[in-house]
Amino acid sequence: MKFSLQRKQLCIPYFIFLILFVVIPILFILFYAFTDSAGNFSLYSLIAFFTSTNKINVLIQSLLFSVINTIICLLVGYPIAYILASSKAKFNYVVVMLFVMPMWINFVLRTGATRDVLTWIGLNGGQHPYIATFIGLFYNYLPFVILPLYSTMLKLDKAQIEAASDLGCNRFQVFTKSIFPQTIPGVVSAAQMVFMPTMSSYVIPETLSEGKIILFGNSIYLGFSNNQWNSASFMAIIMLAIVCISMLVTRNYTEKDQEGGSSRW
Amino acid sequence: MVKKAFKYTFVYLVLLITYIPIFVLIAFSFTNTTYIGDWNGFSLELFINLFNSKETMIALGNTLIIAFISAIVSTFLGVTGAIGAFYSKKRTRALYENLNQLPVVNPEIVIALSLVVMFVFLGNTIFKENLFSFWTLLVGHVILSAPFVYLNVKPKLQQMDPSLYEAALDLGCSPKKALSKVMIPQLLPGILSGFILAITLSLDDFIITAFTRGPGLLSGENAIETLSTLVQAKIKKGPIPPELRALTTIIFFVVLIVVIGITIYQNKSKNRVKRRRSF
Amino acid sequence: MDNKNYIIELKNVSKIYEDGTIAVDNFNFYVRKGEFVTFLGPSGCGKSTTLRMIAGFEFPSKGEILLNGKDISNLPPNKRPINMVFQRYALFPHLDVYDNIAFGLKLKKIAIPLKDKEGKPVLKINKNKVKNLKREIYLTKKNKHLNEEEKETKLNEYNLALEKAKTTPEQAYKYKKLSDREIDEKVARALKIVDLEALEDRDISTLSGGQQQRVAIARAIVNEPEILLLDEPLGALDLKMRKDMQIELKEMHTKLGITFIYVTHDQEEALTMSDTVVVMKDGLIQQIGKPKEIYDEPKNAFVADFIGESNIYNATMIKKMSVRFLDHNFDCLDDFPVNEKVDVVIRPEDIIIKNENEGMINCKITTKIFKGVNYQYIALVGKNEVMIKSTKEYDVGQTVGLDIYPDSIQIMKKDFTTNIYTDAWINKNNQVCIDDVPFDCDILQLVEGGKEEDGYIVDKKGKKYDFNDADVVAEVGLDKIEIVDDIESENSQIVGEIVDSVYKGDHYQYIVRTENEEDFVCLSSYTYNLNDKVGIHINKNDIKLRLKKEVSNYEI
Repeated sequence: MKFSLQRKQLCIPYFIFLILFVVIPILFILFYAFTDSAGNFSLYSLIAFFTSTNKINVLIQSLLFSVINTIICLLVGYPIAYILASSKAKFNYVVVMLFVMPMWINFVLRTGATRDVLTWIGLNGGQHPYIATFIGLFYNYLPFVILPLYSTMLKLDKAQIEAASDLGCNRFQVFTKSIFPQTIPGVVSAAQMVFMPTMSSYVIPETLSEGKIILFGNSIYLGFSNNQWNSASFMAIIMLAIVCISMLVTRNYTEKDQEGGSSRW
Repeated sequence: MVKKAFKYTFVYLVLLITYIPIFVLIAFSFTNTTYIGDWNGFSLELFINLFNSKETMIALGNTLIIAFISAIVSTFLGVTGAIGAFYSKKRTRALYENLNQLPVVNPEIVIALSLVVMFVFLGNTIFKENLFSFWTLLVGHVILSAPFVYLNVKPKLQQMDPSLYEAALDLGCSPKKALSKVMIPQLLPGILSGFILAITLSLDDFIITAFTRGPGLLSGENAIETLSTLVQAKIKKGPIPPELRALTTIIFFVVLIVVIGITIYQNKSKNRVKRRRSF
Repeated sequence: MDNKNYIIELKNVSKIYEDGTIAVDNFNFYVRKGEFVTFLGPSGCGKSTTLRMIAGFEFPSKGEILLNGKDISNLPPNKRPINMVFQRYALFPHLDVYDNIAFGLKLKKIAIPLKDKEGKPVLKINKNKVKNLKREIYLTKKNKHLNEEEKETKLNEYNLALEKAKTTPEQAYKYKKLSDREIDEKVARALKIVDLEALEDRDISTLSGGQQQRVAIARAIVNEPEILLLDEPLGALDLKMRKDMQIELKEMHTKLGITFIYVTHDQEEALTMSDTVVVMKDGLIQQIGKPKEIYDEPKNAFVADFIGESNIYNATMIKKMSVRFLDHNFDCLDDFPVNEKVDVVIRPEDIIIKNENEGMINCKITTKIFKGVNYQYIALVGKNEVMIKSTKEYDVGQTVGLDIYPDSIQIMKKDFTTNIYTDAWINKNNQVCIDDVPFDCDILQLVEGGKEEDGYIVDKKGKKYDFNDADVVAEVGLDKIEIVDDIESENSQIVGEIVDSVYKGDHYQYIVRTENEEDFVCLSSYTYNLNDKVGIHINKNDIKLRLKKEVSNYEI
């Protein structure tokens, strides 16, 4: 018993760290979100947020951006992952690595490069903020979609696919009835990789739209730089709530995947 | 056949599109114009400018130091945390798992803001001084990467034969020795990939750095500049500074070499033949 | 009593896990030096837990484990001169064959007595001993399973020893590691014993299952342990390899002369290899004996059924040395009280087939399987099935005669004649709660001539009784419990899992275990498999109740 105890105790430093620097800070923003600048309980931030059309617009715009970006990334990433995972060629793994490789180049630098190139070809952010921002978001999040989808598709049960066609499915039905249902956990985790980060992104919209498009991340950043702790905290709480909701919604699809325990990113 | 060719054309087309900005930057790193699109003849001037730019070198140095230190701390915490949690009772383990998942799902900007709010509060009320420094930055980076180290080690723990540890004890190891001689070598691939991931996460980070940094490191009395914050400040005002194009080229080739090296190493280690010393 | 030959002794050892499951229940057992002992039983019977307690991976909740007469119950595994061969070998994948085998040797330290310049032994206080005793005291204090008295005596004992260790100096030792050359020699010898001389440089992943098995054995025996533990070591091998390894292991045992303790669920393996077999079930020892004893004279139906193929029947003793089953009175050798219900076991190969009307009973052959050395027949006697093995050939449908001689009939005390629940109680609806589940019952039986009036029970004299919360003993006959397939249906009063089944000629005897570990023994002619989830139904009138206290306690 003495020795099993010792292994358990190993996690103490990490979890003290997590409590101190993750849990307690969240309690702090909860506190700030529901107090005024003097520290008294107040719903001022809440009322201010929901009565400001400006802020509500930012929220809706961010949600829309996230949804559209997630869909675009999935539409492009899914077939790529499928093509690369379906044939056994060893070279395909290298192609996946090539898709992921830009992630190792500083992302602010990459975003800047995207903007400069877009400006060069005449798609400058000042005139076309939406297109430029979407291109930037797509560039940045495509690898995050391909990676989980690829690893899910490598694990596809080939026998089940063969059984489906054996039982009379045509190629389209094989896809809708056997392949797609099997890849749902991968799709969900890919969507998770894109959805929330898009909402909270700051650098990409700021740079590519030249400040014209404000997403939720930008407005929190603004609150932070203007020392508006209370309203910034309240917006952070809204983000947290959206995270919780999306986790609850997708919970049933990802649980199996997590027990497999091979999520890499 | 035609269908297959079509499929792969699609894949390579998308791949090419994703690389356009990087390739353009690399191409224009070999000329000395201010804007990309202008070609002024081949020149290596930008590379020389890069190494002469004190500002960029300091930022680069800061970035590497932080990445390395935070990766070491994250790896230590993540690995011990994962081992400890794995051998805890079911319910405690579930609690640990959820706690670890919190910074993973939490948007970076929320983590950053919550840390800042806490540090400001503690600085104002308890310590009566500005807390922002290298240490707050380090905390931020460790929160960012330690959970991922944990997640990289966990599957290795699950795959490991639970009797290995017992076998080590049975053969005379003390618990500590069994950990270092058997468990850690078994977990090494997971620990290494966790470490590399921690480095990349830290190198790439902008938000947490921008929120939690204070003066220190190579920046002296000024707030610590990392590559991300420096570039962000520059591109807010205008195009990417020419010498940073040269930096992009260097980073790209370093990454390329590392990736090729890893791939070759992985292939080699599969069919490695072992030799043994003899008396 | 002369215990000198006992290398290991388990005294009243129990293992109770934190969630309350009892893995090993009051185990008493010893092993002689050099013996080959096998723990045999189905999975979950506690055999592996017992082995792990001997190895030191688990500590007993109660009782003690003595090694050469010394208590090692709380000694960690790295301090025990015992090594183990693991089920899936547990070889270290990051080390090659040589380093795997040398692993233990590299850690080993040899004690050399310290002497001063004049050659006199140096005496010092033994700090290690003090530390260990302190740990024992700490563990004893924290042990939840000991009662106060036991704790008191143990603590006194340890405290005395601690005082002595603190004050009396003992011979001091210095510790030296084995030299590379010594390690090399020992590894080479171990490799030779397991026939792997040429493979010392190989990576573990390049070895076949059989070779890995040998490395695992070499890794254990190279440390020259006093006891070698083997936890189902052949489980992962294919049949042919398993047979070969069985013989080799047996040879190795003879050659090395160390004690082997072997765990398996394979009865054939146990019978071929061991000197002594310990049959276990549900954490309890069912029988200890030489393989032949266990085969020929199983102590109960479980052992008979688990070991070898057998015919098991319900029987009744009709007079001294005569037992009735298969509608015939057979002479037998065992003496049981007349009229007692018993189980009889007859091995299929002990039944002699003759032509029709020439044997003691007649039967009709229903199936015939050619098994190589002999034929295996299933024949019907009335409704009962008889399994027979014989070299003579008969045809399906043929009527034949059977002889069963007294020395082939093994009579055993019945395990279960009725289900008795001593923890039952009556709830306010006058139902009996067994395993906290209410069953309708005839509560009036508790009172002579009782009848029900306004929710109270009234006896013939007019006295009123209220049995709410009364503790009772409930009794249900084996044949009165009905198994229900549909666990959702109303008939299914409680749900459990089939944990045991024994075929008795024309019906099965099942044990259904509920979540709270209550057992229902029942008979059924339908086939269920182990671990099937089934419901249980008991008719109101089939529950016999008996009050634990006097009936007058419940008078109002």
